[in-house]
Amino acid sequence: MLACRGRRRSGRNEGALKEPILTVEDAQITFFVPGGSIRAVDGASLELRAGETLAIVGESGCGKTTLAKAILGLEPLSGGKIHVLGSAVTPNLAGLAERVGIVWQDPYASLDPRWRIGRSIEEPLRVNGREPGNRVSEVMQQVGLEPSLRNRFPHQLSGGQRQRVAIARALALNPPIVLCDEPTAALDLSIRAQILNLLKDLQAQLSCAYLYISHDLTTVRFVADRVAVMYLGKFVEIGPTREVFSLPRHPYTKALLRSAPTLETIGTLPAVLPGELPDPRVLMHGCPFKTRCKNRIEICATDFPRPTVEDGRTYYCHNPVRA
Amino acid sequence: MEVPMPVLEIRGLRVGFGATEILRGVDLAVDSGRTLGIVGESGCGKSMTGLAIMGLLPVGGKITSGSILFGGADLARVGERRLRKLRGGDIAMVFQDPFTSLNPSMRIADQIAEAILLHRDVSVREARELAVKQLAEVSVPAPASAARKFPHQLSGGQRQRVMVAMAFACRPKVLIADEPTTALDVTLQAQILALLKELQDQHGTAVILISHDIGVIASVSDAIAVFYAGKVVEEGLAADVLKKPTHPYTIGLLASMPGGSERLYSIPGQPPDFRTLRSACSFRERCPYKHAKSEVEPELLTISDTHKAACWLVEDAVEAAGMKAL
Repeated sequence: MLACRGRRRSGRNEGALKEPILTVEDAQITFFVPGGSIRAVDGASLELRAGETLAIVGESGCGKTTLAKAILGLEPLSGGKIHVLGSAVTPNLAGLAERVGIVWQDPYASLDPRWRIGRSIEEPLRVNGREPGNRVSEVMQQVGLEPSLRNRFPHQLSGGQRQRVAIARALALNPPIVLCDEPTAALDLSIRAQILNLLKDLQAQLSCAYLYISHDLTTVRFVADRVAVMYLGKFVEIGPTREVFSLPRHPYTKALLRSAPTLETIGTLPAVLPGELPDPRVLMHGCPFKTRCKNRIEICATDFPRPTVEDGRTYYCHNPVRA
Repeated sequence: MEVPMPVLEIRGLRVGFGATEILRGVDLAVDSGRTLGIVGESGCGKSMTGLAIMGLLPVGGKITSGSILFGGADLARVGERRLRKLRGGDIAMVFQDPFTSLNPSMRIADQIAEAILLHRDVSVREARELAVKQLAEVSVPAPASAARKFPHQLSGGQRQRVMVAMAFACRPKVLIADEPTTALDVTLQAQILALLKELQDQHGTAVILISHDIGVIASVSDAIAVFYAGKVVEEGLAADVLKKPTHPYTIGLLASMPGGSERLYSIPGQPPDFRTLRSACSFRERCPYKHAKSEVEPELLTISDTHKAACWLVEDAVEAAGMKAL
């Protein structure tokens, strides 16, 4: 059903095996709530390399946005380390915006409705003590907006234009890393196509790396070089998108892929993965996916699997899906 | 094979807000046990169609002409009392976001019982028991205890199951599901779609499923109607519309789905402003074909027994085929 279509990877990505510009090592983020604590991120590790797109996918509540906030320094770590361009992310955010830009899901909520858009795009420059000069017009042109629109308010723009403004703002400081949290989830199909094309074009032009957070697998297949599948605060499979999508090894990855409806299956309901994410307040031993897993074996109840590395991909499963 | 009578039929439906017309002559029909998928982008009128059927148009919106035929009556003309009887009874609705459409300060059992009490002659106690039964039918775990909970105590997936339980509580003949899974993850979406299908098959319900997600529409629909600028621009069996799209808008929409290519097609321009629409093809400014007759608004033209599109290209194709036959 999800057979990989022959897709040519552009040359820039072949050189993507560069040094990582973002590393997350065994990150832990714990929230204290009435009735216990939640390990929202529980030992997650990943590397983002210069110029590549890495997608983080998983269900709501799996910890993907919490991890993104930690990378932005907005959520303190309770364990582990995050390094951006070699320096550790700390609650002192000085200069971080020059290294990481961010595009949120809903451009209507992420732009100040009372600010003209020129001011919104300019703000990161001013906050970081840069003279805007003609950077605002320049970055507006890069994202395909007429610089004359800078005096408009967000409500005077269409949804697609607003998301372009959000992207321009993220790129204002020309950061090498751009974090995109569901950037197309609030957009209509034809606008989504424009924004996805734009993100690809900008990457080719500026060689920035995207950390792309989404639960929309069709979009991820289109934009991402590599994909990291997250479940209950842990990564369960990380690898090249093409390989992971055509032959998922972790049962959760497979279930996630099969539950997405596609045009290839007219009149056939997507396969159902029964159950929901378990209550994160209950500390779980062993594999977090054991309560919903078809491939469960005895050891899953007690031990979290060690990583298996295979053809450039890593997965964590005692009883992986066979070809 | 007997031809089933549509349980709900809309003819020439027009809805206006003041001088602005937002539904400009919609024709739809859905049969018992079948699913009609309505697809289109924000503001194309797909949700308004659902609300018009329910008699729930926002303030200022009025049906100006056309009819909504259901059970021997024209819902566009019946009074509020009659509509109130139908709503949640013979015609039910599931909305997108269960968090905003459930009452946060009312226990689950009471919310479902409320719908049952309005439409069935039962005691409060019986209605509550039916509510618990209904929760069991939609596979909410531990239905008796879930019934005593408030919406915030349930997970997102369970809340949407409650919405489905409520909608099916009075065994509706027609269910209108407006983006029922848009707020959900793919895994929960698959669960809810399977649940809707199961209940539909069990009760022979006609379902109108409104969604902007073509994947969802493809997986559940028997027939599909594509909306653009307040009109149906293409309709037919699911395979007709998805495998042989004919209206340039449908073709563009399908091409903008991420697929095999490195770049996505995107339809140029933007949907027209309803305030400035006139009698001409509403897609003409974005259309790659720019037909010579685009200043005249095309009606739905027949491509085959099961497939129609509102595009002059259809006429050309039919003519060309006719020429070939000669």
